[in-house]
Amino acid sequence: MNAANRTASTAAANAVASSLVGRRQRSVGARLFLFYLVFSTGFGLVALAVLLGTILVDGLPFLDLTLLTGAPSSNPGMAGARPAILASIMVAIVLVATALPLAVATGVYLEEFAPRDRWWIRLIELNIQNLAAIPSIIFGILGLAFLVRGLGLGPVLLAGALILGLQMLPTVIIAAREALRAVPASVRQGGMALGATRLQVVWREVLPAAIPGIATGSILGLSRAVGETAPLLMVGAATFVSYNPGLLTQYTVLPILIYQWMRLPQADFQGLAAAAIIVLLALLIAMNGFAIWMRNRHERKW
Amino acid sequence: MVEIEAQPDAAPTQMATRGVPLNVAGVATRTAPTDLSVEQPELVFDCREIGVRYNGVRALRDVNLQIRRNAVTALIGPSGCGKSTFLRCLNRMNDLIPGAEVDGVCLYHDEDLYGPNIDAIEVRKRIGMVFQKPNPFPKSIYDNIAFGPRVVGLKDHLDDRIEEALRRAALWDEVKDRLKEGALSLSGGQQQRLCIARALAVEPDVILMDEPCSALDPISTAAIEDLMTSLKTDYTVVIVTHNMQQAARVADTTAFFSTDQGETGTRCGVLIEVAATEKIFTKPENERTEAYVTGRFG
Amino acid sequence: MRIGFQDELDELCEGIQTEGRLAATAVAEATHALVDWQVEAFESTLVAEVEVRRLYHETETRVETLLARQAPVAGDLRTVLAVLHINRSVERAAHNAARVAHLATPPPRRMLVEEAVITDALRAMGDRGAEMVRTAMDTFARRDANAALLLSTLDELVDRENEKIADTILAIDINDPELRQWAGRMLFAARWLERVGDHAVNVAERTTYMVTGEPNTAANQDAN
Repeated sequence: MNAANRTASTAAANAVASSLVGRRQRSVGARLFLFYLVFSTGFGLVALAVLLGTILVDGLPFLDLTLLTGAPSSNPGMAGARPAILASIMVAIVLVATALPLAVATGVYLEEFAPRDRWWIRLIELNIQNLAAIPSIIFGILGLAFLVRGLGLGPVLLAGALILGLQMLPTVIIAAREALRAVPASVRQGGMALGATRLQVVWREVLPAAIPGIATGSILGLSRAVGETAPLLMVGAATFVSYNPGLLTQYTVLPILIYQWMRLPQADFQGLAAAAIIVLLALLIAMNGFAIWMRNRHERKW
Repeated sequence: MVEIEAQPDAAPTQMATRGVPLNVAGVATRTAPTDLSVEQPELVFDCREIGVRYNGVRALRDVNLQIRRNAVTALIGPSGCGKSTFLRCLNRMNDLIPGAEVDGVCLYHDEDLYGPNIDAIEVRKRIGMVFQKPNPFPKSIYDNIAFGPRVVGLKDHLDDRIEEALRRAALWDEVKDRLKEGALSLSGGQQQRLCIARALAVEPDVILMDEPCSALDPISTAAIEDLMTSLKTDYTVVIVTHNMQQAARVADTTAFFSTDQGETGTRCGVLIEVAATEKIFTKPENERTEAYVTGRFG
Repeated sequence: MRIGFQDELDELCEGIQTEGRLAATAVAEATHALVDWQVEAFESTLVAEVEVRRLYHETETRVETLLARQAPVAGDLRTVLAVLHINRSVERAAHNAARVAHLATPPPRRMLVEEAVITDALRAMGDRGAEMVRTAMDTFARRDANAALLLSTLDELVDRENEKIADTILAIDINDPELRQWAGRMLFAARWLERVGDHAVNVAERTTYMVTGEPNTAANQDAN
């Protein structure tokens, strides 16, 4: 290879090498987009931090045993949130016991067993989508008409929990269906090829595999339900309850208590409201934690 | 279309010699194995005029094929010629496809598989299937194999059953110390053998394999081919394969499918020729078979 | 489809044709050397034989490569196997021709009837042998399944001439040592030429097998 060729090939090699180096400069559009993404994330995080920060600053001084164990009173020094805390926990338990299995079962039926081509199946699916978008206060009116008055339950905790359950259904059904859909068809095929019935395959293989997704969807629905105020007010949740609630007694929940305390004139009650918000958040985080634990327990087996 | 009954191979062990793709020795003296002194192995499947339509569109027609006991039968042919569709007819997996209709008669041990009183679930307990892409459940190895016996009701001596199944699938030695580990942590070839073990655990009569090695590397493929040869002593094996050399290596009988222009102008699968494997690969009767095996036609 | 493979197969068949024709030439030249005692014929025979041996190895290698890389089946497999056997037969025929050429010596007495009989018979055998080899290669090229029958008929003629030579030689006066020595050499030459005929028949049989998949056992009976 003579000198001219050698120079030419070196030059070619250099050109290739340098073309690799230059690419770090992104176009203006790409940089703007990246900035926008970072900004949005940052905005959300900052807003959340400010919110939490304010609440913690306002509420921590008032977070004490009285708050957790005492009953509401017009005297801020003695006021506690115990009945409301208990009621919120009981609502959560009722939801987990009634709405959750119902929603998951509906999701399983629609996704695994329902014949796809019937018109009434399509109708049901369409309605579930719509239900998810209905404002919560409508559920409250529904509950008032059918459960409180129609069924004669009266303004009791069970009625409130049931109506929150109804509101929660669409979210969890949709989440359950998505989770089931994510289980590959090969799992079902493999199970059926072994001589299992469809029910056996779904119960033993598909549903367990979908649990992480279902858990996530359930928590979303549950968290929203526990934080609801408007529908419960419609079904007659009281604002001042000093005894421990039962399923068939009058009740109040944390969000309503917070709302009530915020409206009282005394400055201390504002602080108590902030403290109650911390308690509510703690409750939600606990539920989330439980769901994550459930999810991890199932994921570890894979 | 030529209808030829599958001939029993009088000496099936000659086909499976590792490393020798075809029975080269003794070509001049070998004749079609119609040695009447050897009893013909009994028929497991007797399929007559089998056809399949999907939502009214014909995908397969007029398949007349017999599958004999304790032999490996391979279905070969180009893509879209209905081999997998036909395979699914044998264990009623086409029932799970909406819009699929099967016509014709499929006799399994002289019993009509599609008869009015036949339960498809029972059929699948006796006729197992292994799929193209290994599909172990996302559970432990133990639970994967145990699934079959548990749903079928063979709950006794579960540990023994699982060990037996894994031994028959030539996987026991590799996993015996980690039965509780996840099945998805195994390699592709091991996963496929796991799926075979899973199918064996319900003690089937027949094992159907739909392109079992197409997702695997050559070494895993060789292991599974050896497995097929050893399985045929106790089971009947039917495989669909795109790989002609695989059919040449492992199958006793080979059936060649291809496509024909249907009545409505759409292509539909048909059976062209079925014979002992060595005949298909040394002197096939139908020129379409010759064109396919020599690679003159894709 | 498989254009590369088809080209390789075609090359293989063309190669064997060349080899076969060369072997036929070798036989013809060897006969010429044997009965006409021409030095050029002798040299031509040896040159042809060397070339045939070279082509023999080349064909062997081609077959090995084809089998290893292309995994031929059905008709292609039979073709490749036929070429493999024909290769051997053709190489042996050329080798026999060389042996015949080496045996060439003029008859000592020049006038005897027996010498003339033997020489004529040898010429007939040699010419017939060369013709048989050419015919066999031709039937291979045309993929003629009835070739074997045709060639075994030709082979009968060769065998008859061979017997004639043997009878004549055995009847020769043993008291003539030069004549006896010459006759002995001619006997060997006849044997080699008879083998050439058998090789040609083998080629035809392989052709039949290639086309039909069945060996032609009827033609097998007279082999060797």
